[in-house]
Amino acid sequence: MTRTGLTCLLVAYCATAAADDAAPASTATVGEEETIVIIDRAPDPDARPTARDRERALGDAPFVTIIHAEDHPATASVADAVGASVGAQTRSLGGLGAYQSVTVRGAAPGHTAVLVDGLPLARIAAVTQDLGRYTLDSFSEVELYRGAVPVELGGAGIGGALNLVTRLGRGETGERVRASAGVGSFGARHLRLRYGDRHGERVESATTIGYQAARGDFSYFSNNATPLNTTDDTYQQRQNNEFWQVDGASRFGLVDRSAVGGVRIGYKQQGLPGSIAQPTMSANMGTLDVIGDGRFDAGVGTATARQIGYLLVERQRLRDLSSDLDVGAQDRTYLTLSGGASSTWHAPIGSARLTAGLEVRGDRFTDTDESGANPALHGDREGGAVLAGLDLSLGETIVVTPAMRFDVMRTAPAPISVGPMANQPVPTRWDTVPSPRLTARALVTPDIAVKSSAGGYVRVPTLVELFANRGTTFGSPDLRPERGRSADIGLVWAPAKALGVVDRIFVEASAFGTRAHDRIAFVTSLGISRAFNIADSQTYGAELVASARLARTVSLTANYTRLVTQQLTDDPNFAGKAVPQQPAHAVYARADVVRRAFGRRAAVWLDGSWQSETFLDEANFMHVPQRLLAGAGARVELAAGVAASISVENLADTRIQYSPLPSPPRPDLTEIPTPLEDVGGFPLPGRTVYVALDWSH
Amino acid sequence: MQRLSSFLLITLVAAACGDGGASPDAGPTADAPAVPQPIALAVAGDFGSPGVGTVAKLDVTSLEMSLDVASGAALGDPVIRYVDGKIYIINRFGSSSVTILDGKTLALEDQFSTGTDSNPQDVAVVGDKLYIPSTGTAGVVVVTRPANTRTTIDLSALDSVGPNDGKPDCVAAYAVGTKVYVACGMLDSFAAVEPAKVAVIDTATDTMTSSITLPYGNPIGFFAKSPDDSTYGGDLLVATAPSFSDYATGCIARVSTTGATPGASCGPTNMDLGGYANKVDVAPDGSLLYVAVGTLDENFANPTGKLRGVDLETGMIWDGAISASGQLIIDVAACPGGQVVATDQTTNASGLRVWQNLQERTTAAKPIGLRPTTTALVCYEP
Repeated sequence: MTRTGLTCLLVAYCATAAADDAAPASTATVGEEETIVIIDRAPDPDARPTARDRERALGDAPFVTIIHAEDHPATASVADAVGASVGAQTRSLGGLGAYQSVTVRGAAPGHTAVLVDGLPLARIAAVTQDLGRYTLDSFSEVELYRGAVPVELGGAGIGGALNLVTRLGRGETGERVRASAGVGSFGARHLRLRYGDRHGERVESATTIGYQAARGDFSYFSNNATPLNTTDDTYQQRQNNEFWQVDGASRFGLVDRSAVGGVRIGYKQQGLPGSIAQPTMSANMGTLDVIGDGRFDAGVGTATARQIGYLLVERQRLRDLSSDLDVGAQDRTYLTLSGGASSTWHAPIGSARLTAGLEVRGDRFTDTDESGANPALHGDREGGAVLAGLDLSLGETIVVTPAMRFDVMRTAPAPISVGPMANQPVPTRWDTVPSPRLTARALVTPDIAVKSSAGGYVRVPTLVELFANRGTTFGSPDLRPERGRSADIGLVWAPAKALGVVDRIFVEASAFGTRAHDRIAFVTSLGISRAFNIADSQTYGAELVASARLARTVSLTANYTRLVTQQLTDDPNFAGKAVPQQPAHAVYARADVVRRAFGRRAAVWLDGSWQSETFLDEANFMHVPQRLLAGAGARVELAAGVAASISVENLADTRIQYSPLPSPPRPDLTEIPTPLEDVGGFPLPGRTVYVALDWSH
Repeated sequence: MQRLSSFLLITLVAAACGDGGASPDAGPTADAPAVPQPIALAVAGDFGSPGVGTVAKLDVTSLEMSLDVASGAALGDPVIRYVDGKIYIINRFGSSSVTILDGKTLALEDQFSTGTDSNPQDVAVVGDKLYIPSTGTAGVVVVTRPANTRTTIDLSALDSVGPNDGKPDCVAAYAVGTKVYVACGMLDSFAAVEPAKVAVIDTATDTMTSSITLPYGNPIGFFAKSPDDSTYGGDLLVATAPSFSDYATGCIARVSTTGATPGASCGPTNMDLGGYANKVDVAPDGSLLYVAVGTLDENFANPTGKLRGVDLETGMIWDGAISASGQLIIDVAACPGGQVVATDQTTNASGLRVWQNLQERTTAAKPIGLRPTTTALVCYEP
């Protein structure tokens, strides 16, 4: 192999391992010589002998799962992809485009912070994000921090953090342009175009635009809200489940990433189909997201300071004029405006590296009743944080990083103007939130790292949880923040060389434990819902990830999550019982076979996910049976840069599960059929097929 | 207070004589005469998990609690009725179905839908027809068994104030002979903007023959029928709560079911009760009306709940509460034999409590498996 060829390979390899802030894909330093390489043809994607992201897995202290967009179908949402990774579970309200959230290591969805290019999304109004509205393909990769969260990524996260990262410059295989289009079951369709390149020697950019939609009119099993009466069971067609969305993003940056900025805009219109028992015909929601940010690095002596400024806008319009949702006719607009800035400094101190920073942020939320029947609810939250961390090198192979973040937040709602509390002053609330954390990583051999972390995290209540005062939902101004501690330890083995015919070997094993205090939930009594701190919980378990490639042809990936959860509460109805919807065992496995035939690359894959029985509710009355779902797909290059693919999900067309009845109400009725569902009452589709064409240049 | 003092005196004397005085968690004495062996059934739902509910059974004599005795019978947001030997579990918001269990064996007899999004609230039984007021409909869903055919009686014309959404918010029903009385709130965006009305349904034709305007708006809970020889003269009683925090208005409304022109008036007022009545139930011997009285502050927070008594001979409200301070009583059911069961919703200590001769037999609330709610308790002898 020539020197140039070796450099090309190295560059391509580095590109796969690079984080957002790492050196760009096409720049490499070899000895004293810096070589700038412009890749004009795609590198061989099959040549790399090591596991993808090996350097990060061995070098980063936290346990991070890196999810790559190109490994998933073009229509996959961020939640779809995250749900197949170790330690994470997806909860979907059913079908392409539906509301989706993720839980990590048994923590509540709100305990996983969501960031876009490092910017934390607003949590003033709602604590969970609908990850179904983020198309994975509009990003390049997703970083799932399962345990410790870098101090720069915020203080909330007993369930880790999810960072959606936009790739700058050319694509994974050196392509400037990538376009794809496809159609599938239940009216699913998409169009997507990405352009990324280098402009001159210093600037890179990436621009994506996309459209995605579906009718979502799949058929589902309905027990007619009479689970004990099978004579009225039917298959119904999901209605008011359509959606369409468009998104666009453009991002520019210097090759060395010392200055980066961009804007991302998305709009999604979706029906809100309701549950099986409470279906809706016309309730719908439109959501506009705008994210704009800019950042630059400045050198001050030996220190480097990164300045970031950003603006986030989320505008949602809920229309339910027929009161389909049974909470009265609604025509509401929710507007969240957020802005912030930070300055984070990195400076070497001997063999250590100091990180220190300052952040400020403001959020404003307005809930407007467009009918004019109720006054607007609005409030704001301003806050700041100081953060510090120190990377201490103990010898050549051990790095210990103690870090601390201290957030101060002021939350102020506006007084309501009607009702018995009209115009009464509402006290401003202050929260002071420390969140310490400690990570350690030891490189035992060049191929094996032992890692551990521990930390404390806090989630401050939302404005709705604190101050809502509308209809039958009320906040509690004296709520305590949710707090939690987590810790983990494990090892990574990722050999740099092949072992015989086996290469790309990657094994990661970890054990973890978390404890959450003062979980916040709305409790309904006498027809009124009010937010309370209701309980503590603890989880512990283990994760195992293993992957390898055989004979440069068959790639095998599997992960297993063992999870033990327990509610810690004084309520005897729930004490000691499992946290709902958290399977004790979860397995995901996938096999890919890649071959070249007639000079064209062809691949087929098969995957399966299995999870053990879970409970739907906190009292553990409703059993959700274990389930196994399988998928398959294939992708064939038709011509240079052009490929066709097909993917099939829920291959066996599973639509019914059978739930046991612990106390049969009739001797012959020991189990009942229930629809396939993640969340009670919201069915998932059966078999779905999607075909797509993609073109890269 | 005089009546309460008399009861307490009798109880203390009886206890001093060693003659059946109730001690906490004590069962009947071996030489006691045959007395009814009632059971209490409580249902509850999990608002955080649609479609999840439970049925708990309390042996009132032994105070033995059995949890989740009929899986799948109670779904989301359930309430319960006992009518003529059968248990009717009405699964309200999010489920819209009715489950019928045999009152003796708790075996499933039937489960049927009341219609998608119908949100049933109560049931009255006349022959093979069930009259089910349903807030998601135009009034009352009529289900004819055993085929479970379904029709709806349109009562939307009752709504005469503000916008008429075609759903008159009917919440309670009671059968008297061949007539069914249905209480409807006609709420506008959950607000009681007009006095509630009671529709009188002729079950021969399933049509509304007349209506009665109640003194106040927002009927809550179920109807209870007062004894004919009581001060309320056999009237139906139903609570109203035009406000959950201001008790200057509202009362337990009386609905006359006799005479050519049935009317409505007030029984005990919310001011007299010191709150609104979550549930009323008549002692089987007809002497007493038990009332679960609740209060909320102006922020709909800091709830209180007391078990109070109304002398049905005089209409006098007993001074003080039967329940102890610190308990959060939200529901009540009078049992055959004189015992009374009430639901305590105290956070982290919720469940059922039992009184006999005004003395509480339970030392702590008996958990039912989920956080209890109102109108979700019955007590009967199988």
